[in-house]
Amino acid sequence: MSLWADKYRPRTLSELSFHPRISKQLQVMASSGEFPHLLVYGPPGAGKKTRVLATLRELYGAGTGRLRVDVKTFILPSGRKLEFNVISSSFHLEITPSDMGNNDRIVIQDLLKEIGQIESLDFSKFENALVSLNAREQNMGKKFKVVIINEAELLTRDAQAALRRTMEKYSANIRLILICNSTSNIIDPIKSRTLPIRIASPSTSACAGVLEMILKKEHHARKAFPDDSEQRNIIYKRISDASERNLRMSIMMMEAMYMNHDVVSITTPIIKPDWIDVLHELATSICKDRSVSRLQQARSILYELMAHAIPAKLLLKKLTLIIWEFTGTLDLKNKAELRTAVISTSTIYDERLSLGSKDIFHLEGFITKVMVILEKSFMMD
Amino acid sequence: MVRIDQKATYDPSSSPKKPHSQETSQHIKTKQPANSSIILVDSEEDEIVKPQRKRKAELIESETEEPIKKEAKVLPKKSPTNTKSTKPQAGTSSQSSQTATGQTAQEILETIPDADPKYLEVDPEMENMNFFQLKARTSEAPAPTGDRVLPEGRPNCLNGLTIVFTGILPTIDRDECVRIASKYGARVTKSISGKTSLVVIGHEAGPKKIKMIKEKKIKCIDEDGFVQLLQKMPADGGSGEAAQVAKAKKEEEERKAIEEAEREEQENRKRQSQLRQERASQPSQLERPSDKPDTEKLWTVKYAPTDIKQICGNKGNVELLQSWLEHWFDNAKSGFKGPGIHGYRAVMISGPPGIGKTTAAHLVAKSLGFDVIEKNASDVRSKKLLNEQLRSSLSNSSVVGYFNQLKTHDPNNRRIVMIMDEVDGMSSGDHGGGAQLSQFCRTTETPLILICNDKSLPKMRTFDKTCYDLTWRRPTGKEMKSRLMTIAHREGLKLDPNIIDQLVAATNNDIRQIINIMSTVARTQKTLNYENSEQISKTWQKEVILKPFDIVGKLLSGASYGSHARYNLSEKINLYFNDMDFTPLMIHENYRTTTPSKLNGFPANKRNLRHLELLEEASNSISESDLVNQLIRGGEQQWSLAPFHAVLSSVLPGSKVAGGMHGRIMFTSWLGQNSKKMKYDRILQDLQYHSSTKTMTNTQELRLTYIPFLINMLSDPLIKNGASGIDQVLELMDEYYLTKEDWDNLMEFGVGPKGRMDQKLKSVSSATKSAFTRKYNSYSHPTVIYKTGDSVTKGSRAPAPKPDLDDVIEDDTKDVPDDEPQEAQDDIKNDKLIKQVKKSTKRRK
Repeated sequence: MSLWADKYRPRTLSELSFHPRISKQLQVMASSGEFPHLLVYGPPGAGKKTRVLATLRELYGAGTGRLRVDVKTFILPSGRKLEFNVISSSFHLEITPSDMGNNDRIVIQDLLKEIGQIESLDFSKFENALVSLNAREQNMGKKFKVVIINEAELLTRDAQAALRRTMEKYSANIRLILICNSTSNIIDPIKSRTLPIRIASPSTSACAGVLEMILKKEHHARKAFPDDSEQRNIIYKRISDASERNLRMSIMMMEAMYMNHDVVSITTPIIKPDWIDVLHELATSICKDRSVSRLQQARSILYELMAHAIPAKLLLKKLTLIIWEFTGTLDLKNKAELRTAVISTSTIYDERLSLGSKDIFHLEGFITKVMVILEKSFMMD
Repeated sequence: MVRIDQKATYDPSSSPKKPHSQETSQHIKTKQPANSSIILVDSEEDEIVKPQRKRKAELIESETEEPIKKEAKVLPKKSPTNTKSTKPQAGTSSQSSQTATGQTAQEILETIPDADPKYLEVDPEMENMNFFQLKARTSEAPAPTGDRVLPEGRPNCLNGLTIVFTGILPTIDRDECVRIASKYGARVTKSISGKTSLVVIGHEAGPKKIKMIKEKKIKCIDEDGFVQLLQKMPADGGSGEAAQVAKAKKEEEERKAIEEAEREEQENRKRQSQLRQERASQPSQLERPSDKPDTEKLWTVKYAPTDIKQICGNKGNVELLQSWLEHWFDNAKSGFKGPGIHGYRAVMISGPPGIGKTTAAHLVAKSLGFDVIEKNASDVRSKKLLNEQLRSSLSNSSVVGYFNQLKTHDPNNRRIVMIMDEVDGMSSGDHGGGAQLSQFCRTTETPLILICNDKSLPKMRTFDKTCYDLTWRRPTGKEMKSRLMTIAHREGLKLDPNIIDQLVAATNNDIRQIINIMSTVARTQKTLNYENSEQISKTWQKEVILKPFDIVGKLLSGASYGSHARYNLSEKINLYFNDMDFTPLMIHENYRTTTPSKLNGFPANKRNLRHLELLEEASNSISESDLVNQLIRGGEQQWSLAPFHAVLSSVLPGSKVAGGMHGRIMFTSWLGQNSKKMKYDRILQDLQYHSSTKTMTNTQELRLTYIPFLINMLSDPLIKNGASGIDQVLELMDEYYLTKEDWDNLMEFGVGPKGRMDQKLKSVSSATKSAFTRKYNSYSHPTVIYKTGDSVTKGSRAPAPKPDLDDVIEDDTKDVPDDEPQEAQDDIKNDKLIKQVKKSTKRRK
């Protein structure tokens, strides 16, 4: 029993339900034998990894699904030992260099070179001799291994610089697929060496389509949801809105709804992740009660969220969005200025989060500033 | 009985100033003055007033002191440092009407109006406030404007007055008043007592003090009154009794210091000439370092006490020690059954370093004609060596004593004393030394003086019962005064007696350092008075590094900013540099807990906005400081930006929010939160490693989407269904390759009041919990992580499926069936090892 999100993950390109054009392109690329380096980017829960894995399956066959995790040990010049996990099948490797923090360059240098210098044996040749030549013809000449690099935007400049030459030098033996949420941190030389593919979030209707497909397969759960397709669509829409069209989140939310309620109706509350609830409460309390004691409470909440591994940048973004929404409902004369001021403050502190190291300083700065902006507008009104 | 009698008779004898007991101790002869009519007066006085009492008593207005006063009044002309005769009369132009010296302080005080009764009204709110609230309240109150310049008074015009300052004065800073009052010879105390002559009161005075004022009916004046007082008081505090007593006492002190200086000078000259003679007669003899002329010596060496009465402070202890040593052999005969110190064979002297413990012990021994054997930390003092060396010497008699014995034919004259210095310095190298030494303390045949710094250390406990404990205290300013005056006179340095207390405070009662300061000042200046002492003590005070709490206290205090700031910008930056790692963090922790003094005078409806604005400016600056910090400590290492960081991170935020603190200063929570974050990051990484083949996502997404739902999925069945939900949970865990440890860790990831799991999991019965653990351990679980590269070191464990390091404990139980042959091998190996060890030990035997 795995979560629905994993249970109903498409395995092949043809199973993918949305962005048919991209799926088609990938299919063509995989079968043509001319497979470039890829830079796949897009918001979370849009199906980047799913697409990439499906493409690999297209390239190499079902063998890519047999995964294992290896622990590689690296020794730093200082003598410190680092352990690094690599997920691999016999056709590809998946690494997350950002796990190593500032030592990611070493992973790129050592590991990629090591793989790049070894030519993979084409087992398909022997297999082909035994089985049919035609059937597997498309696998001929796939001498390269694919290396998937997760969280590519978190690679340090050094690591990216180490990557750029490797990509060309060992291109005969490896192909890289970089996966990231945004390309803004990727240096230009790498962008120019890759084929960028943007995977956008699914539209609300696409999202609903996936949810409907899952419910069709989950017969037991199907009974809990209303029979009327209109009502179901309303629920789907609410879910996809609440998850900000993050498909993974949508599926999780739907499953959580089903787990917690025997009968799901259009009014059933959507179960959001706990941290979103906490943030929502924080943001609205900041907007409503602009006082020093509230600031003090905000600090402990922020500390708790950050300690529990919620990234500060995300906190800032969500806070800004919630405050944005809240200020939209206000009836003030200078509402427009107020909202721009909030956004511009947010951008300033977002930059500071990137440049600085003590996140709490900046988040508190943002919250205090927002309070001042709001309080001023209310006083003027 | 006999011993007690002896003590009673001999005790006063050790007091050096009693003339009638001279014959009992020979050293006192040296003190007897050669010829001087003044000295004769001196010794008469001593019979009337005990010197110790005089040192302690501040203002004794008793009948017995009358004669001194009169006699002293005759003397002042002979004192060359008399401030009255040397200092020009200051400020005579402004006051002409009331300069008659015949007036007493009491009379003048009566002419000054009482303080406004409003100052004496206690705000009922304040009655029930605690210390911090009171403190916050006082710092909220408007700070002194500092507009007024205090008039110049006549020298020592406040002589004999005991003044208490309380509350906030409208225009002058309280510290400044205290400084000025003590400059003019007044005694400034913090609490009100019967001796208090007047109280200068401002607003927000403490409720308790006001109560005291009312009870004791003490004269109470305000700031204007104080200014009048300064203008009206004649030089040397007028002709009032108290003023005269104080004046006489002061002159007396000075006179004595000069006498002492002259006497020392004479002695010194004598010694030098003796030396010269000796050298003339024996030219071949090598020059010893102690024979070097005084000009080549450090002041601290030059003026080291050479006589018991020169020791500053701890008089009682020194006397006790002397009496103990003197009667040691008598006590030994009677088996040490006496009371107090006389019941001990050994004495332990403890106290902070550099206050003359060793010197005192040596001088006492010297004064009684004992020979000294000293062992200190430079000697090895292990049990074995102590046994060999001490035991033999403890029953020795002194060579000097032996020759004395020949002369005096006194069979008891086996005088030797053993001083064990730096006993707490007995290190691990001196194995068993401490215990052995305390054994000696029980049995010694020779007086034994032990010296240590800290007797509270656990290793010093063994001495608690075997030694009498003498605790040396730091000498107070009063105790050091005469000694310092003597030194100053001999060096021709004019030392204002009123500033000694200030020097003492600046150096934390370190007489050695004060002498060093004097020697430094003497190189360039010939006087040490109010004007330069302040500067001097400031430069010496800087040596102290402030603690983060004190730094933040100063940076967030309202008095540190504004036009009359206590510190200027560079001083505030220096505060930051006292601890540049902690100051920014502590400022960040505490900047919101103040009531900014900038809010004063803001209408209540605008106060909140103004406060938020101030906080915003502070937080903005703190946020910017982090960027600068990144340049300093990050890759660029631009340390020259540190002062800029000081301003952004500490001074600027401080300037915005400075004011009264609401509560105590908190320690920064950033450190704790940061390490918590690191811990959860690590846990998250492990979870990601275990589950990544299934979830196909990165760490962040795992945290944001999977974990909140997984927590519920993995706990709900247990909470709702109890033991029957275990299978469901285990199935899901196996699906995601999660271990039991992962399960525990996952449960800690809940945030917020609704998300936190600790409360929710309490509803799961402990039976269910243990059943869950048992079930988990009962069968093997799928793992995805294969360790490679470690095959060399863990050769025996071949490529057996072995999960991540963190699960070692779980694995041992669950992999039992698979690993059995290997474990058996391991067992054999272990057995072999054990056997080998056994063999080798046998061989050794």
